[in-house]
Amino acid sequence: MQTTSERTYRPGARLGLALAGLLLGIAGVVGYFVLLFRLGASLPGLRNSALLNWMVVALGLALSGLAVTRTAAGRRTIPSVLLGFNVVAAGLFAFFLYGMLAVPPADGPAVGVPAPDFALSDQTGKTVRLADFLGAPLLLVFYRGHW
Amino acid sequence: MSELQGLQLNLAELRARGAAVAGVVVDPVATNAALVRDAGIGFPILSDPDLQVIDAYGLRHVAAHEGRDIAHSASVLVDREGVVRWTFVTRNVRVRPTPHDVLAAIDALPAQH
Repeated sequence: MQTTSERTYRPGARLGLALAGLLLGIAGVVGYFVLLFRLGASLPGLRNSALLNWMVVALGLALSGLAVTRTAAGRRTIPSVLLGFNVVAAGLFAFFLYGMLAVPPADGPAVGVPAPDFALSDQTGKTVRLADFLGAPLLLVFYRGHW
Repeated sequence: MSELQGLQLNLAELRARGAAVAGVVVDPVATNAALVRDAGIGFPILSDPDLQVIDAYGLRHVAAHEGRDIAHSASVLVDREGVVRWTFVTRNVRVRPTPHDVLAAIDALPAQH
């Protein structure tokens, strides 16, 4: 004789939920690299915060977790493994975002003091000086380069 | 890279405020020429291979890449008189000021006398 919970238990649907959760989690992580390298110029706010990606990752984790809790106790191995993969992916994502890409602090120039003068070659080889820009605001963008 | 392209996308708004933009990097002139050409950058990219200017601005990142020193990612807004008015030095290479941040900083500069 089946209990009510066993009658409503559909392992295929639970596995689908667990897989969907894992795929969402991975999509959230992989999607960030698209944001970082392809769309960062037009969506700098999303690149900076990674908020959209974390929302997708969180939804994926929630689905994976739901799949485990909704599966009968003796049959949780596969959804649990999928949830584990999802948690590891989210952990690696966090490590990449907040650990690997972190850099030591630098002071930069003091605000309110004259900017240090410079004379550097532009991309055509012409020497460009700070004085060339006086009379208009100048945004100097220091970047890491292509090495 | 996406930061430069983002500024390029907003170059008209920057110029409407009378502002100029220049990049500073350790890369040689030839690399910068290729970057300007390939990415369609419409402002000068200045080459500082000896990090003289990067040092003067306090932005050397020691042994950042395979033991080589490069610049920290940073933006420095200099006003019409040559005084530093706003800076953004990142603690995480993926986090850069948005063009909106930059435009707001320019708008916050005192009006020209």
